[in-house]
Amino acid sequence: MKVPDNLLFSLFQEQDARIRKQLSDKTLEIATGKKYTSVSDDPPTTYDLLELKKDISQLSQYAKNRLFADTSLSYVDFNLKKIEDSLNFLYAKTIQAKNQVLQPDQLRALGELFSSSLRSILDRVNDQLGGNYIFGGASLNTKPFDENNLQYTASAESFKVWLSDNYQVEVFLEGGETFGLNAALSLATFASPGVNFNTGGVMNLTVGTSTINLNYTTTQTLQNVADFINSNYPNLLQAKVVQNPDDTYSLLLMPIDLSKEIGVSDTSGGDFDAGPTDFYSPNVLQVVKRIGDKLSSGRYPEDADLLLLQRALDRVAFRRSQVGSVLSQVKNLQPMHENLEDSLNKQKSDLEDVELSQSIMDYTRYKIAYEALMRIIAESKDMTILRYLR
Amino acid sequence: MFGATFSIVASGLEIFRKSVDIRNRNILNASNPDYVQEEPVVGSFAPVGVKLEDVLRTQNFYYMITRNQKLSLVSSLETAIRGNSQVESLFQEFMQGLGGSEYINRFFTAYQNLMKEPTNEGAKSELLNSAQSLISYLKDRRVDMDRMLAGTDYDMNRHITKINLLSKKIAQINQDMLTGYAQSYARGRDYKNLLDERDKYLRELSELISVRVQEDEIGRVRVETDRGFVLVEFQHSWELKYNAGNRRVLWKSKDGHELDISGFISGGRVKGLLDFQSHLYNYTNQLEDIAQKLISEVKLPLNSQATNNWHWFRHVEDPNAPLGFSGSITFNFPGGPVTVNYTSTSTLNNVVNAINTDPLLSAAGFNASILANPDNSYTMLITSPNPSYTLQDSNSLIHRSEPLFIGTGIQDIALNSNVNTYLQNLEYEKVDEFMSFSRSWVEGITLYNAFINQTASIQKDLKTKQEIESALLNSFNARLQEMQGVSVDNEFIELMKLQRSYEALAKAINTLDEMIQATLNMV
Repeated sequence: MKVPDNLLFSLFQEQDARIRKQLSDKTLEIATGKKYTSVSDDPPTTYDLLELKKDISQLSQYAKNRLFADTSLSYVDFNLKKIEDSLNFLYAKTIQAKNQVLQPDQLRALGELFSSSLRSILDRVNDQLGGNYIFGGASLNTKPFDENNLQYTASAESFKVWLSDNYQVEVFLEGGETFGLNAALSLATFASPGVNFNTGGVMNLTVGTSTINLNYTTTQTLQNVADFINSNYPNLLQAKVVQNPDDTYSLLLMPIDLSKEIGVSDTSGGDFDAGPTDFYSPNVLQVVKRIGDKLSSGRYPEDADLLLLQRALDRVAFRRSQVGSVLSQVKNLQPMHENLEDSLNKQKSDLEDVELSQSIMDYTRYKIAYEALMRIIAESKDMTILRYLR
Repeated sequence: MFGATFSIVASGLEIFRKSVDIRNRNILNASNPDYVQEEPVVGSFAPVGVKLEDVLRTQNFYYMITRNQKLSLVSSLETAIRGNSQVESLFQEFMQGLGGSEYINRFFTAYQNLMKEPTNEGAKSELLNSAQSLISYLKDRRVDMDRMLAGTDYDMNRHITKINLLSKKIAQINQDMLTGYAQSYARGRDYKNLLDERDKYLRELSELISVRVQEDEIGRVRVETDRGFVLVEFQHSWELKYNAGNRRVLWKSKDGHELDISGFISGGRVKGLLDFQSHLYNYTNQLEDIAQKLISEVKLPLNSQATNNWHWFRHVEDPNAPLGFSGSITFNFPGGPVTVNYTSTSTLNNVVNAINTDPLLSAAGFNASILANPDNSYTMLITSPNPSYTLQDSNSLIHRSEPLFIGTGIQDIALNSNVNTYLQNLEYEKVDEFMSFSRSWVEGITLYNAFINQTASIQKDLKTKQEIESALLNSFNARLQEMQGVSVDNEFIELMKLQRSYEALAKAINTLDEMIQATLNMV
């Protein structure tokens, strides 16, 4: 067989180019630490990598959301605890005031204590974190509680963030519900618990899903209505006649089950029909103010006040326990997010990063192959007739 | 008595000299891949000795043509690969911070971060910057690809000019060959060196464009493109022309007609460039799709101070096709509320008409319209006459909102001119819902992933084909070299044989001379 010199040269060139390319690829791999340098090196890997980048980016956003929720809820919890502490202190002082014989000045001093505690609680409920009101719900930058009438004025929705594709948590609570007592206090006031009603009527009560239509007549008194409710609906409602700071009396209704919302209206034109709103639900701040005002005017606190304070405490404690439970889930997500992120990053690294030891071995292998090729070419040329012609 | 002998010896020496010339030519061209080894064919020429009957070329013309066809294919693949490599280098997804996915992910992360904390001024600023960066990225890549497309025009013109030049040269060789053939009969001249030149031009031509070649008995060739558009016939040549306006390759007939042959070219650099141009069109369209998707989908939840526009967040392909789901839209306003129901068989047009024909809604000033999005989808826009009026969809699909991006595609994509006002008037109660929407938008922008994947797959496919076809080409080349290449060893052996013969013949002259001297001495 004829072996033209050009054939040998072409073969050498071809093999030389191939091994040089392999050597250059391995050098690039070792230099950059990347297995692939262009997207066409391995399209399935490119696809996986792009998907992983997206997943890591989304996960990292969820991790940021989680951190945000963690920080916010921890701060919310801290504030709720401070409010709870204040309420506990006020509750103790109220019991003390109720069980002792105090001079009017002492009562007024206690009233001052309530007043300063109210300012402290107001600061807490109107507190901000990163420019957002923590109890303003989804309003974020609307001050939740009015400093004068202590009414909740911000959003009726809590502010939520997503911590995963399917898990959403409330981070800024809706203050109206958080500090609302879920009680109904009549706007209509009466001079005495024992005085007969001027005009009879019908009160419509809803407690959770239960509805009660309660008739009252001119032969009945405020105390009669409270007693009637307590004896007929002991598992549903608790009714109290409460003395207002202005010495008048109102009807206080509270559901036995904290989670059941209470609503009362009266459109009958009777004594309890006070206009568009007949009963209102006082919030924690209003309760503290109400008792503080009573003490400041030298009046003793009564059972209903203690009940309201107890209710306020329960309410705050209940919300705190809810926040605590969410916070614990949020904190539990941290290792899960971190593990997932580590796992995704590892997958990404496995896909794109080079295993250096393997690359160096390959590099050495190609280098040896290259040297061998050079030697073979040199030797094969040496076997020609030219050697004999020398 | 010695006259004939001298004549025989003289012709023998002349033939050996010519043979040595041919062998030397072989050795000199040993490294020329287009050179065909030549063998002097010496025959007896009674009564005066020997003659050079022929110069035999050890060539298989059809095998060479097959090799050239393979060369056309490989050249076409190499050109397309070179082009696609430029595109690939624009999308460096394996180096951190260089890939488009980083821009897209950064933008959506910024969007979601703002939806997490909508009062954060830093998050607003990050959203604006990342959105602007994404726009710039898309525009820059579009400009880069347009520049590449313009580059292909330059290359194409260069290739077409060279094809025309080669066609002319081959036609000239055809002409020279005819003359050489006539002279070889008349004066024993060797014209076959022209064939090597012809083969070189054919190879160069095949690199540029795939051709079919026929050879006549004296070595002239007829060259035509696929589907028979003639480039060379005898001493005539035809020209190709490139129309950069519509990026087509035209064949110019002798009567002045120009025929588009772009679809009939199966190989060569010209084909590679045509393929790459088509890939580029495809890539730019896909980039366009990404921009259009962003414009069509990404919206900001706004409060009543920012806008009275309410967008429907379920895009449909056809406004006259059934929605496939049911629900209701409630309009809250002083004379309302009014509820408009839709069922799974309702179309978007039905819903729009139901709103516009409702007397209470019309009286209140509500107006619904179909909005054609740049990505060819449709949605509904309801304009409320009063900021205090609100809408609610039972599937939570209608929200007071405005698009973040405006425009129709990459050329004019921009941030909404009111974006700064919008960012100051975000509807905080809706941000968590928009965070959910953004997750589906992120999935929609996997268009980018599909685009990269397609780019990668096309390039990988080209590389694989090129690898296989190159190996085949190398094998063809090796086989061709075996057939027509020069073995220097062999040539040296032949030269040594010639040398011995030459010496023997030279010795015969000495002997004759001695015989003449002896004869003269005898006289």
